[in-house]
Amino acid sequence: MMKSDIPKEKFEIIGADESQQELIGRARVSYMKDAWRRLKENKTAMAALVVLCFLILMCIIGPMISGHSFEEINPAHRNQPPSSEHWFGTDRLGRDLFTRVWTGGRVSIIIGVSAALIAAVVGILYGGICAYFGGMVDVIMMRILEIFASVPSLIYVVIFSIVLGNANLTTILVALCVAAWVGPARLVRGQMLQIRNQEFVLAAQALGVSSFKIILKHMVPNTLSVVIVAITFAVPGFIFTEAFLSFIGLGVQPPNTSWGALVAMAQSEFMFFPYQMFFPAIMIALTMLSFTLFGDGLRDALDPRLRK
Amino acid sequence: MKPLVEVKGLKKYFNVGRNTVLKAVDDLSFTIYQGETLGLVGESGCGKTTCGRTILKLYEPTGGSIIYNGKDMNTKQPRSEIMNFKKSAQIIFQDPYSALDPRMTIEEIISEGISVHYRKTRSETAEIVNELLTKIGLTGDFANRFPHELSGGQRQRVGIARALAVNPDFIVCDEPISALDVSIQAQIVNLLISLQKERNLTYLFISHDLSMVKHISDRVGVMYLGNLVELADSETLFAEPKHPYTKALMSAILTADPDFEKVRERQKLQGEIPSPINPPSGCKFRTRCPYADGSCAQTVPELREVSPGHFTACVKE
Repeated sequence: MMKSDIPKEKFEIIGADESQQELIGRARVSYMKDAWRRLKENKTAMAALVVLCFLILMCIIGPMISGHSFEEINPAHRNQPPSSEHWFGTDRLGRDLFTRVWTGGRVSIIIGVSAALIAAVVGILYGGICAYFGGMVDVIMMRILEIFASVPSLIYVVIFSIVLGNANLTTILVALCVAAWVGPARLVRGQMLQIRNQEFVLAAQALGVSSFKIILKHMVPNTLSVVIVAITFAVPGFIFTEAFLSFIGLGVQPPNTSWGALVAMAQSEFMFFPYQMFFPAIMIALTMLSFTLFGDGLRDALDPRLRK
Repeated sequence: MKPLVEVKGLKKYFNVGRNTVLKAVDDLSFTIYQGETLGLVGESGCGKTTCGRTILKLYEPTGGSIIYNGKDMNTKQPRSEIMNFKKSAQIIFQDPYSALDPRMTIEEIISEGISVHYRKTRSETAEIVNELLTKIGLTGDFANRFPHELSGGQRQRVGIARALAVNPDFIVCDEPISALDVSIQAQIVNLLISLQKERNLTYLFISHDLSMVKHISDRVGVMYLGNLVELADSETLFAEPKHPYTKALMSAILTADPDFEKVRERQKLQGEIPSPINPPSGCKFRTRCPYADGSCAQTVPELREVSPGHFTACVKE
């Protein structure tokens, strides 16, 4: 038999005087504050945020400062290049493109952000219910989800756009969201299933923390960062889908416009008046890039393990 | 000595598919007395962890009773009684990496239980957390850190502090040292021993490290496939094991003497632990037991007292 009795004195806490302690005691910071601090340190993400704010600001005030209305047709000023009168030029009906780009931006950004939010909320609820109840509920709900996921989402979008008819903001949103919640739902379910089996959830149960509080304090915060990042990455996707819908004529109808509709309109004149496509296209590209870069920064900021 | 936890005929079955049941813990009975440490040993998959978690009602028991302080916690109890039980019975986990929420600071983790069971102001809570951190050998500085900034041993200390925060009487230590390296193991075990003396704690110490179990436990139970095969006080069990499985386990302990190690006889077990989904009939150990014969397949051996305080479940003994 082995001798396992290590003298206890060898492992006594002998204490340490102040001078030997680590000096840097961090000030108390909340989780969100800390994330914000780390986000601010990320130059790329902050640049993307500045660009996004600028784009949103211009969408709000742009149409007002140009001095033209977005539906005002002026046959005398058709297909004009950018000038001091029309900053982005005019289209083939003589409408001011500067005004139309920012008016269209409103539609594009509103659709992109709200579709991503709706998809995320539905996805969190659906995935959360799957993970929380488990068993048969989970099996049935996941099969339904898989049926939705097995049809290419563009087909839903096109069919819904046609069925709902006279396309406006609401119908486009509905069409986009029919299939869009599938991704977030899967993500949330997977994440929650993983967290539910972590020992810190068991520890909370052993401490007598109520189920509601466990979901609120452990499950949701550990899922949320993934969801927030998914939302920011989804926004450019929706803007792009809307642009595609408008491009093939199923999206926003004239005289209303969006970036996609503007690009579609400019397509026929592209050989002669490329600037008509340049401005809306660059806005789409800038928005998508900014959202992607910002999402990237947000993911890093929300993960305390990446803290330096 | 007064019994604190009496486990009678505890069963925990898991459904693992259509018509298949995994009997992780099957008809387990033992008693833990106030102020003692009961060690629970056995190889991986024998149901030690399930047993510990079921006693704390983290898993809903399939059957049997868990009598804590005279009250059967596996029957309907008023809410106040359940909360009392949660306050006085705590657990320390095996894996210090998944046992702490990565999005909470150490202070939030330790104070979680305090906010459930006690009414304290924020500054009072901070004071208690500070005290606990000092008690377990960390400093107040750690309060604002996140778990990923701590080493394995430090995290395990935080796990201990979280359990202590609600002033428990009984702690299930679920392999608290197996994820730590050897020098840290000794620190944690000695911390547990000194906390036990100071606060008159009762431990159920689950481990597969036999020498550690001997070091900390007053009595030791040996588990095999969801059952206890032997239960005796620590000295007796290690000096004269009765059950063939215990004997095999004991002979697997390495000694610090290389000369003795060369000549000593080791009893090697053949084969793997059978699946708890379809355990052997009769004595579950008979498929690997060197002494097994026909009678072992017929009767399920009961835990019998072979000498005072020494129980074993073998028909041969």
